[in-house]
Amino acid sequence: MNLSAKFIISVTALITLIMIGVIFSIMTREKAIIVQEMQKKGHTIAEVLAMSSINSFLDHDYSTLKRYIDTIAKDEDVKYVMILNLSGVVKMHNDPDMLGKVLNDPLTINSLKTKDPINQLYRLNLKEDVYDIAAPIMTEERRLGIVRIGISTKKMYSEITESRNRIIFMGIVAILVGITGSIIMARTISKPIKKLVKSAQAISQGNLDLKLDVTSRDEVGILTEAFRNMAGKLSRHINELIRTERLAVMGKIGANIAHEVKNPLDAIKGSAEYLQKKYHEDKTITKFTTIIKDEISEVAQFLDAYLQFARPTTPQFAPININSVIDETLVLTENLIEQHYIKVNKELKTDLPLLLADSIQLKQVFMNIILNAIEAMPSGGDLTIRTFKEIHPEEDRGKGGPAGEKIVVEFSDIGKGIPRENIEKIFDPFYTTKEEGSGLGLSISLSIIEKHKGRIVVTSEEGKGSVFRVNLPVCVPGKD
Amino acid sequence: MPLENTTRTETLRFGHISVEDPTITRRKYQPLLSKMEAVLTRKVELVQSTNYSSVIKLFMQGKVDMGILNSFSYIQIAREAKLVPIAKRVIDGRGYYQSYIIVNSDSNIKSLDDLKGKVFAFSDPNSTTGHLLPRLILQKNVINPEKDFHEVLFIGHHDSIILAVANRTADAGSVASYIFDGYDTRITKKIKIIDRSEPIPLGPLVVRFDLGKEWIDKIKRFFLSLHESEEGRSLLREARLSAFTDVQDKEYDIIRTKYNLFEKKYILK
Repeated sequence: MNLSAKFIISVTALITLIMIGVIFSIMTREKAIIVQEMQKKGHTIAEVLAMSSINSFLDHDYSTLKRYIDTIAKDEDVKYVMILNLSGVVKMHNDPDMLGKVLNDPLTINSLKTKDPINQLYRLNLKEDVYDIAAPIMTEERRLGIVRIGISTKKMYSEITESRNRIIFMGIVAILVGITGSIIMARTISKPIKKLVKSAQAISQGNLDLKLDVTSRDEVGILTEAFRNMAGKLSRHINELIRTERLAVMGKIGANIAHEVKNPLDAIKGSAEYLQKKYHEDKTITKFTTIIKDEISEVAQFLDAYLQFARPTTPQFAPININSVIDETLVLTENLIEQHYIKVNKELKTDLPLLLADSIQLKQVFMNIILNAIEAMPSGGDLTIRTFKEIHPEEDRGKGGPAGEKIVVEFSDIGKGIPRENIEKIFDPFYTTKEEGSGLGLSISLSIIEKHKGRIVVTSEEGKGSVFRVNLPVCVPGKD
Repeated sequence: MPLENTTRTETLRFGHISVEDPTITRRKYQPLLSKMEAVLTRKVELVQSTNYSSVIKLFMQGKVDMGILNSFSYIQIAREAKLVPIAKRVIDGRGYYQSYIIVNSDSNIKSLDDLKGKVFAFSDPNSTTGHLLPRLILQKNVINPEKDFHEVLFIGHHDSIILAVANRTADAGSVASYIFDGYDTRITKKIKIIDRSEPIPLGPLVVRFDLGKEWIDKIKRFFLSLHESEEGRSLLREARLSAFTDVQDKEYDIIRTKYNLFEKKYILK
């Protein structure tokens, strides 16, 4: 049995039970009220008639008594109404044939004995009971006779039946409404759950590209949201694994290439030096061999730098001056900066403490950020690089350093900015807006900074530029 | 307040001898009196009382201006109360009525001779058919009610006498024929009539003499012409009357003769 069926059955059963209880209690109560009201009515009529009849009874004013009785008998609940003397002779009756008859049935005998109004129930036929209510006609000294009134239960019972039918009808309507409501509710709940079940099945088959909409704020909504996050994280972790794997491969290939290129370069360099020594009086040779040597040095330097980038190594922490790292990075990107007419403004604080960091890896991070800035300003602009110290007392202490002390490196460009919806994605592996480019740059940067226990915060406004802030905790060397 | 005075003097107070349950009398006469009020453009009010003598008193004290009296009361008070008869009721097409001596159908009383030792119900001491005539009938049959009956009851309204005989309160009773004849047959079928008096004229419609000739004529004309129109006949039917006809005071001489035979001590004024 599925969840909806269980829900519907239990809700229906509950409503039905409640309704049966309600119907039963209303019916019992209503019946009691109706019976009570009828008896009260009978008593009232009997007592009023008994009181009003005293003088007429004494004066034999039967025309008046007849008028009273005829009026009372018009009430459809009144089966009969009569006045008896103490010998049980019918002195007045709504049925003229009863006049003068002597009654001696047990009911009459009981009634004649009473000094207080009494109420006797008897069965007239299968469908009709009668409440026989008797009240004595009394002067202060003596009893003269009795008034008897028969209240038929016929209408009372039909009223009770009618009200029971009405209540049962209402109960059935309530149950039907309840069932319909529970079906609707069950569907509302089970629909998103069914969707989640399908998604889970999809994930188990390897499909991580899920589109789940959160439409409600209830538990099911929260569950959907959590499920979506879980699927997202799973997907990211898988991507990261792929990235790491790919980086490792690239690192190996890159190192091989570098070695393969560097070895012949050494030979070329040695050859050039040899030529220079041998023909040192030949100006032309000297000039060109110098060019060859310089260019080879530059290529070798670049290859070294590349090797350091490509190889994902664990950071080699050493005390560094952050401003020097920035300067060294700028040297590497000098050509690109000039080609794109970019003006670099450096606002570097000079009295910053040393950082315990891997300068090669930091260079890689800064270079990535600078490359992004250049890309954001294709036709030139200002790139401002600032360094300063910040105190975050609420944050964790760095490795033995003063509480919350951080060095901030801030890169501000005046480029096109990053659209709001993409800001979170820029650190995802293989997210790129460039035509060439691996999409790994910022992803690698983030993992490097995280290894340094730092953070990268990006703020950007479309059309105005972006700000990349790199926070690095200040660490005291040797106190790891 | 002059206005109130005017209204009061202008209201015609219509009395009716208490022959039956006052509610029934009102039901019978109210439509007729409302019509009279509309025709005469003078307020008319029905005045009733519990028994004959209190109605008679109203006439004597001038607290009613006109009304219907039984024959017996009429001959006793007409002169003293300055009343003139202007019409006579016709009931069931007859201008006269009788006294019935009634017993329960289940009773073994067959004739007046069987009445001795029984309970007898008269209506009102001043009733013609409920007292004067039956007492004379009994007298003629050598029955002295006070001596020969087990009990003598004065029950008042004639319809109560019918009911008292039906419910065995009284073994026999005397009742006006027109009341008995017009009564609920489910009850009268339980009753048998063992004797009847000779016919006597129905009681007159009287007005106070000092109402003035103009008003007396107007009132007389209204009542005597009622049966001529469909509406009037319908109102008369409601009052269980056939018509009102001319009346002469001497028509009641027969009652006066009876009255002279009657032992006056029985009249309780």
